[in-house]
Amino acid sequence: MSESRRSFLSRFGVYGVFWRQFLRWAVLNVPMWLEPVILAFWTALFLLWGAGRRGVSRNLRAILPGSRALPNFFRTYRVFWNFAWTIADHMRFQELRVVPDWEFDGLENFRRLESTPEGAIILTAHMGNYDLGAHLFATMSDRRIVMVRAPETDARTREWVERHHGRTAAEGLTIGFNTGAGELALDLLSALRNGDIIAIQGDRVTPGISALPAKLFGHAAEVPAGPFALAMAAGVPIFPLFIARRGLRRYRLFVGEPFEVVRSRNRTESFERAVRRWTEELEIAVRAAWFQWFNFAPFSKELR
Amino acid sequence: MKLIKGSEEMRWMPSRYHFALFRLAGWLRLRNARIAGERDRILSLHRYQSGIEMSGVGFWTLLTVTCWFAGLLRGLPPPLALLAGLPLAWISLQVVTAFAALVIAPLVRLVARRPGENNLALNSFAVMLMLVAAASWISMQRTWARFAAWQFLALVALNALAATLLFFLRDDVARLERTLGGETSASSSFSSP
Repeated sequence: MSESRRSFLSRFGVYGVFWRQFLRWAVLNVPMWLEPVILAFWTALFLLWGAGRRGVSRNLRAILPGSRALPNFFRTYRVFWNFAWTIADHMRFQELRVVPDWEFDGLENFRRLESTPEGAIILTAHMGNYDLGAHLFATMSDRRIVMVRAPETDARTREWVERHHGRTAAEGLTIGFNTGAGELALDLLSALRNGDIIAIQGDRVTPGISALPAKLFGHAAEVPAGPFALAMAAGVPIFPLFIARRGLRRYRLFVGEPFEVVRSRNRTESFERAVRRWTEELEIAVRAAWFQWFNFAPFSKELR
Repeated sequence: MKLIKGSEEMRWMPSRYHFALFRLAGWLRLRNARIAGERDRILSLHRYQSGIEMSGVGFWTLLTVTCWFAGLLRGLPPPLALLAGLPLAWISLQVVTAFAALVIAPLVRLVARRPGENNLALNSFAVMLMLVAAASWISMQRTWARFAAWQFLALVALNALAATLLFFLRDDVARLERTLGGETSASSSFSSP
């Protein structure tokens, strides 16, 4: 197959730019009362993506021990369905400024996060709508928030996303793309020292990012080291925050008790304690909302 | 986009619904209700904000169109015809939407000299009109699917009646919305008392 043909076909791969363009077109053209029906159809179609389907299924076996293959197949559909809604909601927000309803859990912690004069780190997962949550916070608060994202794997998609994020990002919200182990670190440290809030997803390690060992649902896993290193260096608290979709354009935001990465002689022990605290929170959140954990690859090598 | 602090009951605010039947139901539900719950959430005042309405109307449309296809598949027993009708309905709704988006909307914009990319209202009207036309034709065929077509047309007519009622009740509806904070655009910090 020629290079140009391969390049053309890659647009239609799972991570290809075509699906972003198609979603944008759909958000601007499909009547909203047909949206659930259309999304149900395309969710079923995306179940043909074997790698993603298998990844979710394997994760479900770890999250729900004893679960069987057939029910997990339908649970996988539910994960894909929720993912489709979250990316559609995000696109609708970007193009039409349609904002969902928000409910809050751990309101006192949310208020602490909003009102603390020092910087803070929000540690979240690939759940619910990370992007909309960051926009909500930026809109509702005077605090500046820097949202760290892993770049898209496909170059064309990356360019498209970066162009659109720049065009529609809320004031007070900066998006930083984590393209390497150390590129953003100094900027983030500086932002924390200036009293800004950094939002990072801490449930997945992308290639090239330094990691810390962790245990998740009884399996060896890894979490990004960055948030913990930053929290230690800047002396700021980490707020676990999770967003769960509760229905059509309706999300629940949970903010957990903050914790610190205490500076001590034994850095390894400090990190272990902090990672353990984080994974405990993550497990509780994922167990309660497994249908919204958008991890399409096995989270542990033991599950491959 | 208006955001207000609200309670669970305030989800019934008429401005959060698109179809007149639902807006009327919302008004009826809230007009004499005491909003007792704490205003502990952020509600978006947008015409397509109700999951019950959007999912309800969407899947009811899918089911109705499935019955139409099933009724036309005369060679099959009804259960099999319904099974075969479902994917046909699912695909046809998308074909109809694509037709509205790719043919009707650009033509209308060309004639009206109003360029733009957001065709939601236009396509919604065009798709609904096509469905009414299809229902009208099927209602005249000698097939059990004509009952599905009649119920569709009946609900469309009921919605039109509800829209007429709402026109005369528009001041009451506006007063209710104002009382609940519907006219206030609130992007204030959630921590403020």
